Amino acid sequence: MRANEMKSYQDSISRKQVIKLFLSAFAEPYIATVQWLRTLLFPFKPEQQITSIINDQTIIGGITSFLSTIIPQFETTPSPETDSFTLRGGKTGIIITHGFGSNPSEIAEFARKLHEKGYTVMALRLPGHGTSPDHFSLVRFEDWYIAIKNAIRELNKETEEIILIGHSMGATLSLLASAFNPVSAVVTICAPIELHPPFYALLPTVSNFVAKWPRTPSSLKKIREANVKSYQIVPLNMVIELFNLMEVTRKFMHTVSSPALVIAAKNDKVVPMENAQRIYKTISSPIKKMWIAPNSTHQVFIDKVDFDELLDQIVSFIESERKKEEKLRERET
Amino acid sequence: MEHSTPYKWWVTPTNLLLISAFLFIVDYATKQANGKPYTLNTWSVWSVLLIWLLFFVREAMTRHPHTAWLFLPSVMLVIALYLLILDWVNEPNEGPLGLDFALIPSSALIIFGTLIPIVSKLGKKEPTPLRRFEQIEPLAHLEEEKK
Repeated sequence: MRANEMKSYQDSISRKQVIKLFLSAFAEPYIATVQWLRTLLFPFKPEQQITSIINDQTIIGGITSFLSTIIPQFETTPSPETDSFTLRGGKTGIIITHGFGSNPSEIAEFARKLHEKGYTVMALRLPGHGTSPDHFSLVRFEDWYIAIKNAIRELNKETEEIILIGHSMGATLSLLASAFNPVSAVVTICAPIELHPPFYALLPTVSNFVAKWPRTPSSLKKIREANVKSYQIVPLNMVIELFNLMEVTRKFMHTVSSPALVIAAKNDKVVPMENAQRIYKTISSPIKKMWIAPNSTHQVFIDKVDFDELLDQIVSFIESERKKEEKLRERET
Repeated sequence: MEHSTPYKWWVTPTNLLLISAFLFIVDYATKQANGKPYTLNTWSVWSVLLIWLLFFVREAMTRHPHTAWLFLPSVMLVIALYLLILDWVNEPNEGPLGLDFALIPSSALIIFGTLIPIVSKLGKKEPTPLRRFEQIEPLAHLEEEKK
């Protein structure tokens, strides 16, 4: 029996392989040291082999590949919890966009509730969100716009109409997207259009030297309690990108002609009420409505104090718009 | 969500500490063998100082892609200051090893390697948000023309 076992063992692993295993075990600390030295001098990406740099044919290509390995390593792939998701339902498609530094996990419950009402719902993850603050610091507002434009195109393939719902920065982006894309309605929740934080004039210079800034203790506490995996620190250059987005949206929001529901929160200290009032006054939508969440702060989806009422307001707005459109179609026929 | 390096945070400082210890031992041992007294103004102190200065600059600058542009100018500044201090501490000896010439390379490093790149970077004009948006949304041009 023992002889058989020995035989099978010898069959499965050859003597050469055993020696190789021993040698690699002996050499392991030294290989780890060499690799450590390499990461110390050039923080190579683990998946990138040095041979790929050497094998590059052109000098410029070689230098570029070499330089690309010096870029620090950080998370660029979202986790399943923070990634975009689509819940397929009826012929009305809804794209919900989260706010600055957040991700679809914050709006997931709201998306599911809308889906239960019979809609096809896409919770969109904007580029740089749900990955790492370092990744976030590399995107620009154009990337967010392209993401929502692509989402509209994708959802248009499987639905008859698209409704955009956005929270905070996602709302500003939805408003801008509704100015240039075929959408049936737009719902903005606490959308910033013009903010005047103290010392903003210094931000472009400061952001060159100070990479990140922590969020306020109160919002950090909320984020932790709600377990929404939003960023706890904010890259300062992204704050500038948010202001760039607001500037562009201010420029074009008068062209928004889709039916619009403008929502503000009464206790919002981040985005003052004037922003919602300005949106309401400026857009050219023939059908527009404004609603103020009576108990919420800026974090409407984390507070959840007006959650059901918010849902009712949005659903009744969408349904009333649909009825109006149906009547129009009947008249036309 | 931090950097996905294959080593725990304490590996690099510990290994650098060990390398520093080795440099001190070599310096001390050679001084002993030659019958010279060991003083703090010696090559091992300067080597260890440079290693740790570069390590801290690297740690501070390469961890954030957005401030990575400061990495090379900072390295240049650190090396220039290092050369200046080395030159200043060692008494004049009219030779390249005593670094009596350090003022010239240091000023070159600071001016061409640190200040000029920083001034050029900070003074670079960026396209306006509107111009950037027009490049990705062709309809924005039409809206502008309407006005």
